[in-house]
Amino acid sequence: MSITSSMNIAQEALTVSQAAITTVSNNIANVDTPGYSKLRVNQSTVVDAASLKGDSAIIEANSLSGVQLDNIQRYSDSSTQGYYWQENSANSYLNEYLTAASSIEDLTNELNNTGLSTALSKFYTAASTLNQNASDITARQNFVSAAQNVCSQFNSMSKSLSDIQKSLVGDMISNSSSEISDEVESVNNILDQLVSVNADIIKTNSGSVASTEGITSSAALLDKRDSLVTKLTSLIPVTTQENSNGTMTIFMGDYHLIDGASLSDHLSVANSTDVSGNLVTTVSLIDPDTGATKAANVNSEITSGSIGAILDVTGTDPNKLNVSGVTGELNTMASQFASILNTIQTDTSGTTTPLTMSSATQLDIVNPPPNLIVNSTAATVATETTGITAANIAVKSTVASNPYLIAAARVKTTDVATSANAVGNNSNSTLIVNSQTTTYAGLGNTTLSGYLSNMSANVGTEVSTIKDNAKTQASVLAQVQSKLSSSTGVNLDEELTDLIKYQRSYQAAARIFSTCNDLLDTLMNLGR
Amino acid sequence: MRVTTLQTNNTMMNYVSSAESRYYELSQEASSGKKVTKPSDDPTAAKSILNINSQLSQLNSYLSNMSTAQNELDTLDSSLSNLTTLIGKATDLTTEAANGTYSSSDLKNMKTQVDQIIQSVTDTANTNYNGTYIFSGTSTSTPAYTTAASGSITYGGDSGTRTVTISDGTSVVINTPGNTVFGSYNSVTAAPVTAPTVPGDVAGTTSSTTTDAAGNITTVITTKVLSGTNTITTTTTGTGTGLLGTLMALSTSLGTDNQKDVGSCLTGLNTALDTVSTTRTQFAAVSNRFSMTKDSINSTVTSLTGYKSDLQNADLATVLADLAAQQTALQATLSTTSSLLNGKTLLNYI
Repeated sequence: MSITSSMNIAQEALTVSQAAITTVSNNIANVDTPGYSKLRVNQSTVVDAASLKGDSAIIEANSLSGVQLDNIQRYSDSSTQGYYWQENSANSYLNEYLTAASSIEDLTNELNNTGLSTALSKFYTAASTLNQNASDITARQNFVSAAQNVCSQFNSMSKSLSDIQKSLVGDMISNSSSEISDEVESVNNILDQLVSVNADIIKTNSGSVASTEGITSSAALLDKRDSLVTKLTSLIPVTTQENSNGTMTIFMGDYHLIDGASLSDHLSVANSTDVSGNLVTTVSLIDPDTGATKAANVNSEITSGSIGAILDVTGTDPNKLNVSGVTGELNTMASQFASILNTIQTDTSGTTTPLTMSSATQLDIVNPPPNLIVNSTAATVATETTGITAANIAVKSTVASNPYLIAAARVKTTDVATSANAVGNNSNSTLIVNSQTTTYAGLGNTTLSGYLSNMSANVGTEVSTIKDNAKTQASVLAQVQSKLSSSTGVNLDEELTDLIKYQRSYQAAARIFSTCNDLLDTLMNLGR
Repeated sequence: MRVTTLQTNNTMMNYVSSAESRYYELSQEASSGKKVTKPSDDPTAAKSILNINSQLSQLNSYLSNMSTAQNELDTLDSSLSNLTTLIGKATDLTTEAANGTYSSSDLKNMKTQVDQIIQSVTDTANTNYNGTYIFSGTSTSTPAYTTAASGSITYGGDSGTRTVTISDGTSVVINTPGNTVFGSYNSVTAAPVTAPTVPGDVAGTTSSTTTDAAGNITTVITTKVLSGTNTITTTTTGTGTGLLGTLMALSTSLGTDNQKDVGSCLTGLNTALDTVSTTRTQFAAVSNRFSMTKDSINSTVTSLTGYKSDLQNADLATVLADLAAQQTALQATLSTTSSLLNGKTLLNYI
């Protein structure tokens, strides 16, 4: 046992304290870094096993050889981390869904007195005025413009809905610059980065290098890996599996996206149409190198994350709020509106016949009334009432330019020939007025305005549910995040305590040097 | 539990943002005065509000229908009231003429007055309200009666009815075809019974006029010729119905000093007066029905509007109280946050 061995011990102590202070400063530096995991120094007493006697409690002084730096440990909590990722996917799904659903709600918000229901009310008020004064040209013109207003409301709602769809997934021609294609690109980008991080982790061979630089850089890689996975989970739902060498294998459902340091698949997205003409967006897995398709349709795996939300809101699931569902309801209403008015305007199947006016003072007893509401994209007159949707509904142009072509009169079929003067006959416009309160089987046995209220309220119900879910999910996520942060984050007070602690032990170790130095001086003086 | 610095920051941020968003919601509610501005705010209430909106718009159009129709009914009633006065005048003249003390010239004078009454009746029948001939049935652009040179007064309208919708599926007739009230008169001159005579070859003509109880007038003009015993008989038959038929018969009878037939016109005039009275009563009932329906619609509108406002409008007292409470909560959160973030760490003591 020599004095110099004390000095060796003191030197080891200085090294360990210094490493600890470096670690503390790294922690303090990263106190606000998201995803940073606290590092701590593990140290232990060095015991020379060879010099131990049988009774381990009695240790010879010369068997003591100081302190050593075992490793620098990264705080982690893999189960909470996995839970956090799962909740993050769900949270990002709901936020994205809520954004899209809110824009659908804004479109179908009939409470703000500017929507379709107001146009419909005005239309029926105009019909009522026409009914009061069947031959009056002003009343007829008002009726036509009110009908045009209803049609253009349908048109603009339909356009806005398809615009929402377009901004999310693009259209049949292209999906570039749509939200989903940007997000798929981000996913692929993150996957590429993760693969290179995995490769770097293997290189630094995390957890076994005993130098502080080596370990902190390895810890930084693991932090980077985790924050990339966090980004990935906000786009698609993935499950992870940490391998013994520190790399991470990433699954989406049953598919491997990343296997250790090798990239398995990239995502790809394409649009097509289904049998009923709806736009269908399909996400597939492709080989990143060759581009060959490895799984044609993985939509069913993407149940969460913002891509999952985009797929749902542009999908056709009748149980979920989506663009095509609302468009479908709007189309049903548009075609019913057209068929109701056209039937009243042209129906001669009973014992009565509708009549238009040939001039300001005469009914037209020769020509049958034309249709009122038509498909503006129809190629021929014969098909003008076929396939009327909210997008193409319009007032027939000949009626719009000549409001006398509205059939307000309806006379007994046997009296048609003698009815030329009966311009005050308002039996047919009464039918139009009454259609406001009539329920129709094609509208699920509701009135037109009732159908619209239902539609608006249904969207509201869905949005309200999503909003509640998103609120709950956000607080769940905050809790998990808090828990994760609690187990892996940096507490400034803790670090400051450590700092002082290690500063003191550094000072004490330095004091050993000066003490040993004094001892050596004493020894030197002995020899004089 | 171990509390980390980032965790504290995040948690405080969450608290602040949720307090702020609640504060924002409440101030929106307070400034718009509405608690339901989007269907998702309260889907059930939203649906009720939308249904109420469409009901209110229907009810308002019924109200406007009735107020327009009421104006037409008022015109109709004043026309019929005018007609009652005219029939009264005609009855007075008839009673006077029938008592037999008047000379032929007096009767001619009376005929002139009756002819003026006929003219007034025709004018009344052609009453036009807002571009609509109200007594022409559905032929609203056609005058109800035209008087021809032959003396015929022909109904140009039809028997159609016009209706106004006053509640769901209920329509009320607001016109009466003119011919049921005013009747008509048709004068037809039949071809001479024997060959027409050479002009100037006339010895003299005699004419005789008879009216029957139905008001039909038959005028027979017999022409004797100089050249022989040839007699040419021209018969003009006036077929009348209703008020106009009676008045024409009266006019003809007065013109021909036929006091017996003058008396028989009284029955026709009384029948016409009955018809007018019945018609007026009928439309007075419609007016009553309008005003009752209006009252009931108005009270429905009031209660629906009240219900809608309950559903849609924010209770300002509650909202403002909540807002103040939320403001306090927000301030508390902010001050806690500020003291936590700016507050003491170990640094302050070492």
